[in-house]
Amino acid sequence: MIADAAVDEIAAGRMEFDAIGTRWVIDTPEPLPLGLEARILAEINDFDFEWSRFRPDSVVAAVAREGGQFPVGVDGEAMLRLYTRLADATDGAVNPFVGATLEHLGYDPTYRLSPAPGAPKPVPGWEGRFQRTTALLQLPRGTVLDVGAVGKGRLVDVVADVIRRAGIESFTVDAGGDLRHVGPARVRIGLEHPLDPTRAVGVVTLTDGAIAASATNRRAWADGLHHVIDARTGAPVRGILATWALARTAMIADAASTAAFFLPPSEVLSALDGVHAVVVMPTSGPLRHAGLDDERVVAELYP
Amino acid sequence: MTPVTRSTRIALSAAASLAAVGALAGCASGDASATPAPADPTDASSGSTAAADPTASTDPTDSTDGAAAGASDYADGTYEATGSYVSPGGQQQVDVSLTLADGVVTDVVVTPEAGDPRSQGFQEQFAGGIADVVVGVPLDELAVDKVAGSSLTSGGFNDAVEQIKAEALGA
Repeated sequence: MIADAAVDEIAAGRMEFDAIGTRWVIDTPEPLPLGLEARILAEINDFDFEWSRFRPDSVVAAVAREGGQFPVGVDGEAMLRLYTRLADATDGAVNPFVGATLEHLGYDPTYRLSPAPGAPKPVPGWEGRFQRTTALLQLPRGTVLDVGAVGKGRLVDVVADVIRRAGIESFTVDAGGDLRHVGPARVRIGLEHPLDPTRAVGVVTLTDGAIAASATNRRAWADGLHHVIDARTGAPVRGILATWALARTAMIADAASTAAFFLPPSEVLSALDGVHAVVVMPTSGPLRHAGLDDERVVAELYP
Repeated sequence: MTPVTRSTRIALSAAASLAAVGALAGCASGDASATPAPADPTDASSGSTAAADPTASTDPTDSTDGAAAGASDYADGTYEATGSYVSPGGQQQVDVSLTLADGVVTDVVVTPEAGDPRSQGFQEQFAGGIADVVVGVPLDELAVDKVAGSSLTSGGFNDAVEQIKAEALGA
């Protein structure tokens, strides 16, 4: 359903595809030139090649096998700096070294989806692993990097930059839960009920910003086993069903939607620069939120 | 395998809570108008704890043709049922007891019976939240341009989950 003329205008061209395990929908005022489509897909492939722990030829997979010290590149620097902020703000609960734990619990490249026997090894501490001045990452062998808290958001921003550099000034990039909007239109976004995709728990508007959603009943493979891990315990977090965050960029929104599993909404806003609003749906009780009085966020909640 | 005796009693005080139960039923079955699972009404005053035979579907009312669908079609009393499902940890059970008065649910007791500790934890989490989950509104009543949810996970991941379910059923 199209809400108003502004969005009608930017939805005239649409590119849809599957990549990095999710559905992408890019809406633009005009159909994208073929060269730009190819460029977008190439950027996504490059990113996946570096950061995916699901492909054996990725840089992350090589690092896990060999250990050592690695230069992380521009994307890596942006993401790992943000991880340092996240780790500090959540007292170590968010940590990109949870990859091996996720694999132990069954979320591995073969989608084994059943836990290995015994307890997973403790997650190595993040402190001191990433040198901000040199952008070098120091890794013990066997450490599996998982940039799940920020990676998809970062890639949405990368794709948005490719489109913007081509001179397109009004568009949305939606990667199944992480969405970036560029332009003057007000986009109305329903906050999908995590237990029932035909319902919404609220509506927000977005203008020149991003929203990310995270839910523990998605990418869940058995009772209580899902993809949001507390690095301090090695166990999936409990008590929260879903989170949403609005921010300046998709990477920051992605990070905030993960931080909201560990911090009250108001603390997420103060811990990360560029976060506009946070909504949290606990497994029981009313929605919790912060920042919805922000003039950029016109929100209604349906508790 | 130790028997589980802990029950969770949920106080229901508002219509919203009823809607929440309805929403969960609709979610599980994919049908928003899901009817309660068949169960024999037991006399609330007798304190009977016998689980209902899930195959019995006695209609507690004398409705002649069932044309009038509404909460008042259900007789007062306590209804009990045992549900079972197969998790990766094996066959699991959960007992649900509902008390109806004037067509309104006045009490829900969910007793987790899972043998597998992980399933038990999940059931307890569910039992604690069943009456209090946020309901939301139907998306088709809202004029929205986009939806922010994480329902679109990868085909590979979803396929693997389906395969494991199928294997568990065949085991």
